[in-house]
Amino acid sequence: MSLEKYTWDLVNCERCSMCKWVHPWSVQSKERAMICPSLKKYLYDAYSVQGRFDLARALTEGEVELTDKALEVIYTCTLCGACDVTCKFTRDMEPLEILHELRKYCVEQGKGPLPGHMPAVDSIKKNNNPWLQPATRRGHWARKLNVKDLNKEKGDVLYFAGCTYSYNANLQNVARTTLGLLQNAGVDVGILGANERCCASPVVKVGMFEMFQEHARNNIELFNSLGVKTIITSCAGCYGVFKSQYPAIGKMDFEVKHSMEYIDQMILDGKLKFTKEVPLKVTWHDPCHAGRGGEPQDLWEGVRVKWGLSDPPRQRNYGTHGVYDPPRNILKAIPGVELIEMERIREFSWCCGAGGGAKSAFPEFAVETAKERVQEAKQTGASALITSCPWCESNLQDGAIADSGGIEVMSLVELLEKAL
Amino acid sequence: MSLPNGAYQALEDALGKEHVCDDPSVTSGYSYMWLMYATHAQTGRYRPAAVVLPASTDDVQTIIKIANRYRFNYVPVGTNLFPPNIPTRPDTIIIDPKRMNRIIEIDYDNMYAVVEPYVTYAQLQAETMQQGLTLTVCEGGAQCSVVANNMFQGMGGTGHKFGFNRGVLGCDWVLPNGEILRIGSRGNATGDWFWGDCSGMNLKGLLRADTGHCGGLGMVTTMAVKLFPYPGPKIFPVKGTNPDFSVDFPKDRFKVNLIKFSTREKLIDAMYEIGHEEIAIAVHEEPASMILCGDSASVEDFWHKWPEFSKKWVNVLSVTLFGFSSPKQVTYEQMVLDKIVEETGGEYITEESELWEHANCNLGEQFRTGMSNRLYRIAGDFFVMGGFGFDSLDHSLKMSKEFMWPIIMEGIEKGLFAPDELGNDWLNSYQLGHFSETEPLIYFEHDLEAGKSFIGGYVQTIQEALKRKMTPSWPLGPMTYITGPSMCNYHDLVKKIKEAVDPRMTSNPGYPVPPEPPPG
Repeated sequence: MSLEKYTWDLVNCERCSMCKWVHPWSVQSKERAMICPSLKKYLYDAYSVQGRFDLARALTEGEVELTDKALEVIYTCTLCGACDVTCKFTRDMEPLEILHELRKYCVEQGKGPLPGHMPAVDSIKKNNNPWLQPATRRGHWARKLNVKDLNKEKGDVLYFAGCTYSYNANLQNVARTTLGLLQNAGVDVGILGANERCCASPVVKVGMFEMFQEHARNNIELFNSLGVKTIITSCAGCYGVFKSQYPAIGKMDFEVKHSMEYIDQMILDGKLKFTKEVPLKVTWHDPCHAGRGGEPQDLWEGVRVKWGLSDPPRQRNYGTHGVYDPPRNILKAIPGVELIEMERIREFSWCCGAGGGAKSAFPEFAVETAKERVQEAKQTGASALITSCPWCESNLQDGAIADSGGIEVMSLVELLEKAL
Repeated sequence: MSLPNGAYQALEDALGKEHVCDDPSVTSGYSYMWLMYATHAQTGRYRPAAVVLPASTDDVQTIIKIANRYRFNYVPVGTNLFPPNIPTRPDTIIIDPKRMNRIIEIDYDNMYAVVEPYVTYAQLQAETMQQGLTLTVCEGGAQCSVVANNMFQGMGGTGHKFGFNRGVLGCDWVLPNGEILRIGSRGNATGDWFWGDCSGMNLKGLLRADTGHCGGLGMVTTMAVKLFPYPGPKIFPVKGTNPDFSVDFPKDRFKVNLIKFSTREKLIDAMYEIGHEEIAIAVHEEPASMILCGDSASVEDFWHKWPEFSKKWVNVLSVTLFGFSSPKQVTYEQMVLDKIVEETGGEYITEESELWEHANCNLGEQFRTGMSNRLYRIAGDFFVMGGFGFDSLDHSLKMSKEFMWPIIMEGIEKGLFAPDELGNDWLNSYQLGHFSETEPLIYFEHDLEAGKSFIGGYVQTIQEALKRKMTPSWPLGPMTYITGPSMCNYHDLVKKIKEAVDPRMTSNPGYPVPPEPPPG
């Protein structure tokens, strides 16, 4: 893959600007019509995927150099994939792939990632997590639980906690509760404890593809060696990269599910029953990597021929087959909970702002984006903004603080726990 | 490209540092518009010297005065789809209205809205629908600027009923000399927005006729647009997801009919009759390529279905009925349409047909997204061969058959345009059939040979239309030197207007008429 491979897309973009907005049929108000957080913040078209196409074309044609400003333009994007969804209503281009490729190009040129990304990258190299925490403490979140250690014995299901749920004391309860739910439902589940390793999503998001490949390959080998049938994770970031990027790295002898999918099925099967009422108006935030980024990608290797046809023909990703219904089903099943939807939902969800390395390199942008989402949530009249991604939850909490509170941000599992 | 000494500082002082940028990484985002790239590939193309983000009419006025003082050019843009939005001269800045994005007013009683240039059709219509009002959305799509599009053509799917060039009411317009011109009733003593005309002479004619000045005469910073009654749900009723998505308007108030005719002549007879009977809100002949495009998940899907599909679906007329006042209006208009279809030998396409789902999509496209929005899918880009034909329905057919399609066929035979040789146009009725607009669609990808062929054919169709005393449209910029001599030398008058209000030629200099005819 290289930027040259996308010349057809770069040259044939007509600047229709569909990439900047929620698809017009789904626009419900003036205020919530835009879909690109980067453009909303920085205003110049360069900060939309249309502008980044232009920059990519100009870089490959030698019209501009990869300066610090160019790096800023490239990296002030959360890689939320919303532009990819909306572009594909009228075109057959691959905006999200190109955004990834631009970052890869920056790394190849020795300019990326940015200094703000390096602590996390170095920590993944050294500690197998982006949080500068020792690898040995990774399994501490579960030390008081009686859970199968898949390093030592076999099980059907691996619960993959992910780095953030493993190390962030404020969020660890999500992993513990989810694991408890699975165990109570009789699932033959275990964990890897200190041997669990970063999924490397933060690495591929900043363009370090070779490092990502190495991590992904190691993880796939490890997972395959366990002989598990299913990997369940509560982290949308891990889920997204397992679904969309890992299949290109190696054969996976297991299926990947987000915990929301599994819990939804448990409710349907009568394996999870609620005993308490939770009288609460809530709204749901779709994490990008479980939603738009949560559908399997076509592993296409080919070329564009006349009229832009792909040879061999490729399947397109529309971002519509992510994990959208399970969380909604769960919320509707909790007694007393009233779900009120925001305007921008499902494939048109407004990003929380944390993705693509934005939180570490451009924290102000990340919080401003989260603040907009919090405001949208408050507009519904809900008392709580529910999500199921540690990055989203954490950044939306920052957004809520920046917007003077007024709404509680919590994980779906935390809410669900109240009803048990 | 750089600005004269002191100019950049003056812009920063006026707008704030963060609202002026000359970094190539940023200006590159305003430098590439393929059609202009193709037409200017030999003569030079330019990255903007800077991009500025005004927040108000005052800001725009200040920018334009600075441009005059320091003698650099500027191009005002909207949402950026339109080809003349990129610089074709050195030392040119882009005026990007991202911060001018307010809906200032929606007046329900008097049925108009006042907006700034970075308000899109989708945004405005979403808000007006809440109040039972709507407007014609342009065919370029609802992601386009209401102001910029109305300054150019303001035409769209519902133009059969809502008209052409009837959308523009009062406007605030910063002229290239820095003066603010208020047109329509905005210029009256009360400064109201409600009316496109005014007492005495109206300078609205300077803004546009069939097409606008393409940023060559300054920038409209606020515009009132006409709204119309809307009898439907407050939220646009979309159902399904891409690529299988459609709309679900209440059937007693919104009804699409697809009708097949044995010949285009009969189809046009029906269009005339529909106009004479004053029924329907949208009336379009839809070429097979357009229909299939609306039903295709991808370019691969389109070309896979095309051979079979194109054999079956020619001469298809789409007629949409709205029950503005009540469901009875739909019932009545349907009865009238039934009679017309019977008399003209048409045949309704039924719910069992593979086209039926398209009918619902059609409604959504006519109403909000624009019918041409998805045509990019077929080959990468599309355009209309020749000046869009604005003429009577009969003439439209004639100009299409006699000289537009022969030129298209040449391009298809050379492999420059995608192979759609059916000869069907996208033919639209405006103002109850009073006139029509024909678009012989061509599909191509961005290569210089295809661009050259398209531009050559475009000029040729204008010349052929003039020979036959027909009405070509879209003679933009240098092409006015071709149309002008056949039309009372209007280009000389426009040139004089340009010289009068833009003596330093700073406002998108090649438009509406360049100072000199292009060589050759």
